[in-house]
Amino acid sequence: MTTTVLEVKNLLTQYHTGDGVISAVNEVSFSIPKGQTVCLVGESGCGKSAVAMSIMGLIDPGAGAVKNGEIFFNRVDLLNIKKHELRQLRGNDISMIFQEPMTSLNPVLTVGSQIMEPIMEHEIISKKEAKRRALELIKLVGIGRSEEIFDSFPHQLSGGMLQRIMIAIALSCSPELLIADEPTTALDVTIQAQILDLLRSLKEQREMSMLLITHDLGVVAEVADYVIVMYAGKVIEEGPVVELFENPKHPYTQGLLKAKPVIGQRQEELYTIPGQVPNLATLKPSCFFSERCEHCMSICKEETPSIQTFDNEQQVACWLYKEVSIV
Amino acid sequence: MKGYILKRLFYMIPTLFGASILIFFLYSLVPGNFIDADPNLTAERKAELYELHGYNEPVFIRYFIWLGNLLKGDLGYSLQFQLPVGEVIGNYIWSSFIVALASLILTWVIAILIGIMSAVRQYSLFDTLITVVVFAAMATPSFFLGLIVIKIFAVDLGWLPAGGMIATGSNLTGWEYIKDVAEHMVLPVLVLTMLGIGGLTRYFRTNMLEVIKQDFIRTARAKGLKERVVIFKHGLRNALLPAITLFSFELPALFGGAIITEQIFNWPGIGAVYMQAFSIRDYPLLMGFTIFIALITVMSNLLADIFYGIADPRVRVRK
Repeated sequence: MTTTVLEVKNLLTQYHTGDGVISAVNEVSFSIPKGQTVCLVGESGCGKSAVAMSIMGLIDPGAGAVKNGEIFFNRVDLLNIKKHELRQLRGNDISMIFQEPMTSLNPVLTVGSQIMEPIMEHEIISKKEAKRRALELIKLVGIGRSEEIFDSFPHQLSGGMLQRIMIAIALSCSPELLIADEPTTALDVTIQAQILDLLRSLKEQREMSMLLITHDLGVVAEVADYVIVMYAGKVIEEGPVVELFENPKHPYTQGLLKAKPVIGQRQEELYTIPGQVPNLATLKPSCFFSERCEHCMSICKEETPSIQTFDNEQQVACWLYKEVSIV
Repeated sequence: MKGYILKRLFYMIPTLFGASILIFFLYSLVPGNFIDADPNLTAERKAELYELHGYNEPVFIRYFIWLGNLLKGDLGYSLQFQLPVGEVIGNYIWSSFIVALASLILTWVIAILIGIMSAVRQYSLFDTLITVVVFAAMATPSFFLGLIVIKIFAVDLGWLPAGGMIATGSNLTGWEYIKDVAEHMVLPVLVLTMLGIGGLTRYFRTNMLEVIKQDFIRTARAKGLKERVVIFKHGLRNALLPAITLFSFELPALFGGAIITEQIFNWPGIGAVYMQAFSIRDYPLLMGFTIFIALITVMSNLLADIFYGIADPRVRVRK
């Protein structure tokens, strides 16, 4: 019996845009069991990052807000606790790393002081002790010369090193849940592999749970235990990683897997899913993927399919399978 | 760093040389001078004075004489005061300086605080209100604003003196004297602050708005830091960086005097003296003072670059 670290139920997060109100996260539910890595996959703009920001409570109130749903972290309702209580969880029990390591650190403060900051904020600890911890963390994320790195400024380090520093900051208070929002997207391929290995081994050492957001299916195959595929703010398919990769059910997931270049196979043209992600402001009740789907039926354009569970724990929201289950 | 400063000091020489040429010839080529401007002088006396002050020499020769004196530290001789220019500047500059310094500090502190607050609450009622007030203060001419505050605070309410630097006929000393000067300073400082605050507030609002959109602010929030720390430690320092240049532009103004405001409040500052020197064509004083301001401007620029190096690790000069 595994305990659940994070549980998201019917999350609805809306943003105001020039076109009107859009639902970046639309009735999304999932949970993360202790020690597991859950991957959130989808194209750019499908609401993956909005899920992360909703959990962290970092949505700019001028731009949008969580409108409905529940988020429980260790049974604490994150949407209904006081601001300062949420602040005390952030960086302490839940921490986050971001896509762009080059801009995610303050350019005028030393790397060391930025690692020490969350430790000093969340723990009663002397400055000297915090520094010792920071130096340890720098070593932990695989950078040598920790003293030298401690005193350097972000512009003096490479992107890969900065992302390691971001990981060090995220791990500084030994969080139970780490949210990684496309942590390797801005890095080149060899560094990507190193960072993923680092994240995976640290996660195992510390029995952390991880929510990894990515659009790279290669990354998913490497680290995920469980995969959630999002499209236009909705979860359209989810399941254990092996099942999902071997037997994708939703036409969108099938398309994504087909679009992934395979090493050693040279194709004239890479497969692409035709069409574009729809404008979230003008969506009507329908399957949001119907415009681009090669199996589109008349019902797909009229009603939004609900999610249904298969025997192998896979869940999918698609009309193709509804009919089967009805029959 | 030492080499860099020396190099920059060396670069100042041609700049100041160019400034001296401009200043001297612009003033010298203007028709008329102090002697011509006095209708009470006889022709013989005029010729005598021309000879005495060297006006009969060709302009070029006069430039080099002037430049030679400058290099010896002699700014010239004020015809109006019958004193060396250096001494005249020394007599009046500090009264301008205290007013300018007080209003500079007030302007910056208030502008930074208001700028941050309206950036953090962009488009709120506070932000809108501040924008309106700030633009109104900016758009009001200094003489009008000066007269209004005199009317309200000096005439109607009678709280503060209307002009001058000390109460007429008083010969106070020590703390009493300082208190008297401070009372007289309030209105001019208020006017200068109101005039300066508008642009600066908008400037800090814009800077801060840019900074709080940055990724590292999101990181700071994700660390669970208090909002106050996020804004002041992570935001403000980055928003202040570009203001260093602006600050260096303000430094010469500390010594430049506020011409109109000093005139209105009858403040015995260098700005008022400068204005007077224009009307009676005391060119040596004008030239001497202008080259003095040029020197301070060039030095402020150097100072700005040095400050930048200290404040922003990205532009720190490599040793």
